[in-house]
Amino acid sequence: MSVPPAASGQTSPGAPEDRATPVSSGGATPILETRDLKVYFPVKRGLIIQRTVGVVKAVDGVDIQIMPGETLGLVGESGSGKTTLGRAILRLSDASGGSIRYEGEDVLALRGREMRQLKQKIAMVFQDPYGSLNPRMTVGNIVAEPMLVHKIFDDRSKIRDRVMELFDTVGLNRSMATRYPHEFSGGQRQRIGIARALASGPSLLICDEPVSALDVSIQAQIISLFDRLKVEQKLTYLFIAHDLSVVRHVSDTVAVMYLGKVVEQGDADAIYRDPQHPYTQALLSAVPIPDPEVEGKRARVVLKGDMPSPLNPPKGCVFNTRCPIAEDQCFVDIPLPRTLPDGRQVACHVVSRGIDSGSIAAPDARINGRPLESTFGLLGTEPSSQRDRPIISRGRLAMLVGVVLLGVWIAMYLGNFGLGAEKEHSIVPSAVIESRIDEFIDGFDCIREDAVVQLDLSNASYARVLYLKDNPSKPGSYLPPRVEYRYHYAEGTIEAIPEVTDFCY
Amino acid sequence: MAEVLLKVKNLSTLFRTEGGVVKAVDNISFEVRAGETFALVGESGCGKSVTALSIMRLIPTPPGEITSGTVEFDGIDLLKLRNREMRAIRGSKIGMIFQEPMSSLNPVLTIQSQLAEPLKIHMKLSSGAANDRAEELVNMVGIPDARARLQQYPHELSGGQRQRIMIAMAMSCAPRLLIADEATTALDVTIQAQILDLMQDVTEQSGTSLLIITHNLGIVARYADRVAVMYAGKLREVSDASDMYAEPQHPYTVGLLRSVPRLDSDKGAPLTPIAGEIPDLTDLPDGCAFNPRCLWAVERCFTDDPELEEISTGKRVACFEHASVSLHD
Repeated sequence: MSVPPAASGQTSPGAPEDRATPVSSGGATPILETRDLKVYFPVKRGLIIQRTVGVVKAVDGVDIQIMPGETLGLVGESGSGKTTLGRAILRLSDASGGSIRYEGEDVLALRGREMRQLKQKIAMVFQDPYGSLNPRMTVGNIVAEPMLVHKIFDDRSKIRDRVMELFDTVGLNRSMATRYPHEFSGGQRQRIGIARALASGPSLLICDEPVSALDVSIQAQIISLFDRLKVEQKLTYLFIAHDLSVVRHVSDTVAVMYLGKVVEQGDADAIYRDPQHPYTQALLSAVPIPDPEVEGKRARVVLKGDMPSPLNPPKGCVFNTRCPIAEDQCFVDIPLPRTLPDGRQVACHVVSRGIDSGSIAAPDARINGRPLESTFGLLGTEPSSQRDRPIISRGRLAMLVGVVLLGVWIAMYLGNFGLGAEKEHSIVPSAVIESRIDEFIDGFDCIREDAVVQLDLSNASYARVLYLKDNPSKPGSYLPPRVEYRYHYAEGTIEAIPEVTDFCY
Repeated sequence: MAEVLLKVKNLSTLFRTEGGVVKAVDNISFEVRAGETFALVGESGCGKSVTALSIMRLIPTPPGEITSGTVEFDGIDLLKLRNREMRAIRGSKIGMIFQEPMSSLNPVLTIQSQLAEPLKIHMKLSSGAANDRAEELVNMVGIPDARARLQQYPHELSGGQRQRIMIAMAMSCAPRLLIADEATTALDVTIQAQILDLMQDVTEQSGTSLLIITHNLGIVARYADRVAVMYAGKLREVSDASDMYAEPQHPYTVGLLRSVPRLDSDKGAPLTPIAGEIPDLTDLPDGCAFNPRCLWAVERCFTDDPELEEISTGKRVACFEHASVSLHD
């Protein structure tokens, strides 16, 4: 394993050595590979004498691989570093460390003419179809320019023929070549941008949010064009997008970025079917599916708060401020990517421990990733007064209850109430909870009985009550809670804690 | 069926531009019932935002003009009100949230003074009472450390928090209707989910109707009870949300649903885009405006423009061929 000296913070003790072998698809050579790639931007202050007051780690130790003919979807929210990663590959942003290899060649070592040759093989399609075309050039000249720069043809008439061919390829009318960009709609401009990218005959296309500025019906046209070009021109794509549904459609493999790091990557089907990293889970569940019936049954995790400032990222795992399953270790050690049995890589301490204990093959053995020893569960019933969305009422309900006492968390969770139900429902007082534990525990197949027996509420000042529902996609596991209530024993009062609603479901 | 809160009837709004007269909203009628979430969905330029602005009487005149129709809110025709009477309704009975929270908040005023303002004007609260209520509102929208936040300026908050403040402001006078115009489009998906859940929760708790204006069919599926699909200034299909997704009856709705990639579909599942471009509103085709892109168009569609007709209970479609239109063929 090779963690370069620049890697900051502590790494997990006994970190495994599989960092050196990112997601591999058999023995083929990747067309593009980055190793521990870093792009840091210094933050300077001062007018004349500038001093560096900080550093933004836009890309911080990223390993990705793209196999020839495949599409790697790079997803993440704004500020995750996905665009910077794409730009670094074309050396539009300077890498601060690590390596980039294109067909085995060290991209960062290339100079002058060699670099120009590389840019002939890697082309870029940009997000903004309005800003990325020179308004004072005809679109024909825009498409011809890469051929002139790379001196692909010495004869102008050959260039003209090729421009016409490219117009056909991307579905533009040949007669439009003499017009200017402002005469075109957004979708047509994106076609022009694609024609320009194809002009130098690239084998790798870096597409940075190529469809996000387009309307739905036009978006589908451009995606279909990408699909067709992939086959016809044998293209490989690095497809950068925040729209996970679009990425789902185009990608063979997926890398999920958060605050400069790849938190999960691997086969697209596997990740979409069964995301392992808590951020991937939250990201996927945040995307609404255009089908009310499916939406009604879906498991959802809503994250708390915002992404932290990249100037001041949290210690340990960068996701720890919003993570619903963070543990003590997550606030200290940076998790390294580990390979799962299915070949995918996940950088999460909780998942890593699952791999070590062999339980990752059966993730159902945990509740929200928490080990069972620290969680207690009770089975609840649906309150009749509940006024709720169908999403929730369809699920089987479960109740888990928790108490914090001298650092001992005893969690009690009970099946799902929406915010709307807040006023009407009542919470079971502690005495009743104790007597009901035995009653509820039958039928609750996920909780270890011996753990519940240790539950001692006599010294507790309050109970933390969270409502959970079954995770329909993973029987036996539960979704994070939606609302937290505190039951104060002394006063016998119930208090709602609003912040929790954020990450809650 | 719940009572009707907002009844838009034969509303037309046009803009006189140099390129010609644009019928941004062309004779549309729909109702929003008390307590429901109604979605107005369509692509850019279809007139969905102009509809919202017309309801709020915020159309810049000139070049814009509401040329016909009525907007009955709680039994009162908003279009007949004097400006002063309309101001008493805006921000009080009807709240509105826009796409870009930064430009909707005043950058030089603290959150507290902006939140307290409508309370003082509409609710006639004293400064002290308004400030207390502002703190409650900030708590309600889930922003931690409310007291400190109230003293801050909009630029000190993140995009998601600004949108939460907008929700707090829009809900401050307990409106009966909340209009959210692409309120989460500029936000990241995880924040989008937070904000929409919050909006749904606060409106559900207070029984406020929610009019969501969006281009995102996923959001409609997740949150809306009923939906209206708009294209080139006209409503093309109005129906219960679940019906529209299960059995869309307008070719444009079918086209939209077929062209959206889905998170839960298999990789490489076919995507069928709608051919062609969104038409220029100054130069609409004769007959049905969707005819150049329509898979079901017959001769009549190129001469006559179909009206929105009730084809079954709660479902209205503007298409001559609706009986043969289907999502699966």
